[in-house]
Amino acid sequence: MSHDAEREQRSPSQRELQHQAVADLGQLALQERSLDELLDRAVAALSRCLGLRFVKVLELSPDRSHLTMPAGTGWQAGVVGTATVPGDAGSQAGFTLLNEDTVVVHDFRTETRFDPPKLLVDHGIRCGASVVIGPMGDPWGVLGVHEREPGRCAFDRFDIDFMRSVANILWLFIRNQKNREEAERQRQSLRSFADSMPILFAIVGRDGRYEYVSQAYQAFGMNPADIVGRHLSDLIDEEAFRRIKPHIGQVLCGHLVRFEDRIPDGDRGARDVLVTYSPRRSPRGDVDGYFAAVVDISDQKRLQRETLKRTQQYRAIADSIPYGIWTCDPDGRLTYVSDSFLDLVGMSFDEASDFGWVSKLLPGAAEETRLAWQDCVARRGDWEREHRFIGSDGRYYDILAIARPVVDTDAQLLGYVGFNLDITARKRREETLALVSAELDHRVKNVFSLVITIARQASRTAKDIEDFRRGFDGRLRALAAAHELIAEGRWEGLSLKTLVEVELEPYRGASRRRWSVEGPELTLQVHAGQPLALALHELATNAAKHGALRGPEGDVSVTWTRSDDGGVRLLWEESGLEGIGTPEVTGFGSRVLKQVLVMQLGAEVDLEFRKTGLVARIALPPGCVH
Amino acid sequence: MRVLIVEDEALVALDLADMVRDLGHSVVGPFATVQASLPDCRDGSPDFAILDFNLGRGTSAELAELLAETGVPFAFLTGYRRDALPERFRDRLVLSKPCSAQALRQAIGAAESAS
Repeated sequence: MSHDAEREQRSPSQRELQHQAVADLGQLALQERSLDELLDRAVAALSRCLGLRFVKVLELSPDRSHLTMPAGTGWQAGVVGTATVPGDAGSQAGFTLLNEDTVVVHDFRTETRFDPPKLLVDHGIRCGASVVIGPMGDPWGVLGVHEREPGRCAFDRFDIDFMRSVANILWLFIRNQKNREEAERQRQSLRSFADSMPILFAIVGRDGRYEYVSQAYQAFGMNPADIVGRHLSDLIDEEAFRRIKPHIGQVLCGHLVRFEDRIPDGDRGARDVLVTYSPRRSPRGDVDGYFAAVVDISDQKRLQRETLKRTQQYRAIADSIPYGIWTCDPDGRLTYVSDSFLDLVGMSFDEASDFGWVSKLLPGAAEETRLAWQDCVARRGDWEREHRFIGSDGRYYDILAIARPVVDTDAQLLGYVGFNLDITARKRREETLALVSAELDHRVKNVFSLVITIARQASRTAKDIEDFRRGFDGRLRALAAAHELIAEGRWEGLSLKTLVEVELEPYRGASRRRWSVEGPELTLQVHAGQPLALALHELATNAAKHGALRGPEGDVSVTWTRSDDGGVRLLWEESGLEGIGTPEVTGFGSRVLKQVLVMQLGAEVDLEFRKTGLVARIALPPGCVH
Repeated sequence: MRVLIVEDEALVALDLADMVRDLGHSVVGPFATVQASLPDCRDGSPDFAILDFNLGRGTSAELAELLAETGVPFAFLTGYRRDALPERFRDRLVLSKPCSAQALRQAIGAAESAS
């Protein structure tokens, strides 16, 4: 038979061989084999089924500049694994890759599309065929068969199909392998990422057993290798497991769960952690486990606790100031107020909130205050106002409220913050001051009355202006002197001895006078000072005009003793002169001694007019003395 | 007219009494306390009264009320302003200290014509 004849028909058994080979290779590809093994088997099958000496598998380099030969048969020793073939269109391989998915060369000598590479030339190859392994747009390589004798590469359609089938099987295997490698690479990079984070990652199956645990678990004193396969409850204590069980239930129902927990940390006490569980779904869609991420938030938690403590401290300080602090929303409704205020007015917070506090103001001021407040809030003004509140004890309390608006960075009103100052004491002092002023008014008017009375009296009895002036002057000075003593004694009392001496002072004159001012140290009540001062003045004036003080030899002795009832017995005794007639005690003097002392002080007065002068006895009741 | 005087400052009281007499009237008292004046208010009450509002530690309010009940006209004598008086007395005749003879004459005169 001629070559053509041979070429023209493959025997049915060869077709069977080819089909069988494809089936075998396909089977092999499904198993867990290495690519090298598969390539070798493919190469052998091609050689056998096509009856050709040379078979090659060419792999395209990553930069697409050339191809290497990872598998082949028929080649000289050392070729497989080391030979390279240019990848450009100048070679058959390159041409295959770039232009057609199947290239058949009947005779290289007459081939015009490309030249045979050195490798083929060296082996005396004259013909062959090649198919692309992988998709045309992104090929993996080329599968090729060759022979020396030109007529030997007479391929029919079925032969080409056979080659293509083998190439496809190889490609599928390679692609699967790539996918697996890629998947593994991703898994590995995820693992490295997980391990590099200070976050515990774990994958737990539905049965509660750990499938994966990141390296970070070492930080908890556990070795990851010891954890995988174990049950959750083996690793954490009963109480903790009880705590997280409901969360696990939630995630297994398909919910994302997030919660905070506190876990013991060996000898360092405890750590605050944020735990997230997310459900893992099987390809069927049901939850077959979950991913757990545990983040240490101890620092944040500690900061949170410290901030809370500080806030509470500030609140406590603010609350300790009567009557504390308060806040309002942008409408002016009360949102917080210290307990010290609530206790004062006897309200619960609910009662005081919004505008409830207004009801504790004095009824007359309540509505007006509320309107003023709302107006202030509307204007975003500063608030400063005195309030009078009715306390729970029924008493009035004066409070100065000061508040400022709180505005955020967008100039939105967030509300008001204010504090209450207790100004009750201050207000009382103001009121007392007002009272004291009124009292002062009263007393000053009384003094004017007295002065006018004295003036009137003086004018009644005076003979002339000079006389009037003397009388008027003298009496005013007597009063002024008494007042001076009262002021010195801070309105608590005045010394009797000092009063007597002060009133007699103007009449001392020449030092030949022997005064006698004797008596126990006594403090007179303030109200007794004025009348007694006037009385002493009148006695002295009278003595100077009519009595013992008329001449230098005359004397006055003023003595006093304490009486049994606690009062004072004062004795005014003139002496030294003779022949004093019964004087006319002036109307004013008589009035003072006989009426004023009696009416105002309840005193008993006895006047004895002797020839040697006046002897006056004045008995003051206990109420006049301290 | 018989004019009752209740004033705790003796000199002022005596001076007032002088002024009243100068106007031709007679004086009942003067008294320093409400207590002392009461007997003279019951039997044969006065025709007019001058009451110092602030007496010692208390006031003459009680006496004022009694006189008002019995229809005796009176005037308050006070060093305070009118509005310092209790509300119910603010419409009353008030003589401000120090009291002038003229004011006194007018007050008594008014009472006289009213009676």
